[in-house]
Amino acid sequence: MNKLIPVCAIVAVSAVFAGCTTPTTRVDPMNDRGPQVAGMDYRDVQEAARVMLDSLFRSGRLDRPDGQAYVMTVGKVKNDTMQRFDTDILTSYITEELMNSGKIMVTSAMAASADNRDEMVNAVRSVRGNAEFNQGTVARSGQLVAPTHSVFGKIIQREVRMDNGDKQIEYYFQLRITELATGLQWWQKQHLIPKRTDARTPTW
Amino acid sequence: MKCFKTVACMIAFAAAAVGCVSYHTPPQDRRVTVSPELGTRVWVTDVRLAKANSQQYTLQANVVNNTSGVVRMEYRVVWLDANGMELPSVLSTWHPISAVEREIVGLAATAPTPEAVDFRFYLQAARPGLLN
Repeated sequence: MNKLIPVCAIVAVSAVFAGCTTPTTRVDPMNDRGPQVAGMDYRDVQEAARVMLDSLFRSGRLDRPDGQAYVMTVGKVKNDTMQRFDTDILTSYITEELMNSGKIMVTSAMAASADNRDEMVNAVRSVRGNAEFNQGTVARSGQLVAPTHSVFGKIIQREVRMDNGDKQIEYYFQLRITELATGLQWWQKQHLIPKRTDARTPTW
Repeated sequence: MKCFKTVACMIAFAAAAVGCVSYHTPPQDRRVTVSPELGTRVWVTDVRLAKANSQQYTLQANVVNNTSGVVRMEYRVVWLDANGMELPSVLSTWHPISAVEREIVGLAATAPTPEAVDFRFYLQAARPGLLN
């Protein structure tokens, strides 16, 4: 009987703690009722991508007179925040929508980040003259298409202390497109997402 | 004669009632959906779809705050092709806006592709904590 009491107590305490935990649920990204966070989350990135794309599409810069698509490469997008964040999350939204619009083709042969380059482009060329491969199916020289434009940018985090001691966090999303032949900047957009929170709330 | 007076009174009353109702009816557009929790606090007016600098359509609309306070909202635009099929895009995510008392806020949204020729505009109250 004496042994049974501690076991019951452990079970009871475990049950109480189990009840305190938040159950895991899936989130509908289109209708997320979850509270806002001080850090940068997917809602901020989607909003930034939306604003950038809206500006780019509305500018008419993508409308090539001959109806052909421009070829774009992904340059460096610098993460200048205090958070670990892969900027490909942002550029992936951008390039996906640009390709879906039919006005841009994105090259995998050339990119600032190795993650945006497909090593197979060079690998398939390394088998030229290899008798194991039907040479008629190997990519011939002079077939790669050079990019006409490059997209690059920066994400900046700035923290400002409010007069009442709270913290204001400013996220600046900046994207630019360069016309590679001339080096001229072709389009640019900055989008600000400001947040306010308690001074002790970390953003990482 | 008595019957004539009654009919005349009814017509006059009906005319007055119709006039009152139609004057306060918000503009209706089948492409626009305002969520019930916003009620008549906001109206969506001057909904226009046009091509400006781009080959892609741009939607422009005004959101009118009928109240004497700040209204915090979100809107999204779903784009449809010529067959009425939805074109999924990150451009169709919710976007926060707020309007101060009696303010008319102009909104614009550009279609993700030249194939988008129609739209559905949704407006709802901002989710808790979205805007201060």
